[in-house]
Amino acid sequence: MTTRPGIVGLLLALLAGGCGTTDPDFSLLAASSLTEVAPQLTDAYHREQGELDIVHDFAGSHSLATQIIEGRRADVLLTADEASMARAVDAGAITGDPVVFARNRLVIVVPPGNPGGVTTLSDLADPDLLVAICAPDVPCGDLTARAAADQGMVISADTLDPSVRSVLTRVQSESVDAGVVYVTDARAAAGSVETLALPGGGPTGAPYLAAAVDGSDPDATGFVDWLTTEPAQAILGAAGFEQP
Amino acid sequence: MRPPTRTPRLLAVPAVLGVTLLTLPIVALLWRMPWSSVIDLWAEPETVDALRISLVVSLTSAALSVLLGLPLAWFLGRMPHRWSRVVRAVVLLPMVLPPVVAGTALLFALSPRRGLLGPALDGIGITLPFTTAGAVLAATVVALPFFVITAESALHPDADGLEDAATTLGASPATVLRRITLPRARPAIAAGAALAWARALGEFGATLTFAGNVPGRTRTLPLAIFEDLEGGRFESALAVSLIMLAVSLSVLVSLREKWLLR
Repeated sequence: MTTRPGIVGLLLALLAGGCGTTDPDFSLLAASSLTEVAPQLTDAYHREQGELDIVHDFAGSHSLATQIIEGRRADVLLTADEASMARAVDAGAITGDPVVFARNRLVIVVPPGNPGGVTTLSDLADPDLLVAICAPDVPCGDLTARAAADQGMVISADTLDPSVRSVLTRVQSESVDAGVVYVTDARAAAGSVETLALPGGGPTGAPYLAAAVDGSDPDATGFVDWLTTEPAQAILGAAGFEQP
Repeated sequence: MRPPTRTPRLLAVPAVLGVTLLTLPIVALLWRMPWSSVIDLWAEPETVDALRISLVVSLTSAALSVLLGLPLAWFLGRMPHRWSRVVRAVVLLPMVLPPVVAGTALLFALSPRRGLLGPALDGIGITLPFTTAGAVLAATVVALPFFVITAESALHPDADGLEDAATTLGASPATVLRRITLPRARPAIAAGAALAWARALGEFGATLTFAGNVPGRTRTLPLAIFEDLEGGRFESALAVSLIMLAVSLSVLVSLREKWLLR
């Protein structure tokens, strides 16, 4: 009986903590493939503006577009393709025009030591090999299908993952023999995977788009415009992204 | 005539709130449903494939849950208390574990490349990850606990001494099980099987992690819905959700009439 006030107090404190959070100063919703680079970008942009409470949220581009269309408050949306951004624009959830700020390329990643003996993309047609790629509905999967079509082959995939990051995780955990991810994902995972280039470098990826969300503060537009400037492009380039 | 039972009126407030909380999302789902194109979206080959995989996986998983769970539930009521406490906790663990963790753990156990048992199984020609059998396994890990806890209480040694009486009168343990214990537990067994089936049908995280997502092989309805949402195909996601609602509602209602209300 004596413990009860303590427990009630603890619950109240937790509730107060949960309800007491205010709106962040700057919230960025970004495609999964931007997981490492987005915090570097917001850091660099906001450095001169002093301490800010910045929130990043990473998910599939279409999931993020849906959240914004359904009324989630945020400042900036970064998508890995045009289709998801177009949905947000059509729904009136964006102010101004979206800006292309980067492009990406695909590579093959294999676990250390390359247990499956993969040398090139056409090896992934082997049904005995365990292969993970992105689902055709998400940007990286669409690009993977194009890369395979360019080589006149079909990848014998054992899983079509809804996010490029889950493909990467499967290779890192050695659950599969090979996966196809963005060059930027491979670079972020350097050390835990080996990277093989696609024949001829593979097709150039869909553009990454940035836009200020409807109702965001004016600073959001400033950030979007800044993404195409030299300092931002230097950060993106270091992470493996290509110029827009 | 029975005297009218008196319930404290105030209880109605949280009760109504509870029902609202559970029905509001479903109502909203139906409100946004693209009714005019629902039939066309259902006829998509991908949707038909996913429905077929879902039915195969969830029904097999429910059958496996009964097959493994019934003896387990029976023993739970008959082993020494200190042991049953441990076994029960282990059995219930997958209910609290996020399904993606269960799927990852299954992969650690059975991956043909690096799993605990996977390479040995692979050596004798059994590969489970990224197969339909793997999807069944993933669904069973999360569904089995639901069957066991539902069936367990009904399989407890009886307090009224009916089982003891039968034994005293010369019935063998098998006869007691067949003639008294099981018939009496029938509604709970049916309810447990229905719960396990429903849980297996809705399974998502463990399936995606362990069995992957390949059309016609491991892509179940929940995986198809998630992929539709990630691909921005909103209307298809809603239409497929409607199939899940309709299938589960009709099965659960018919089960209730046939089995649960005797």
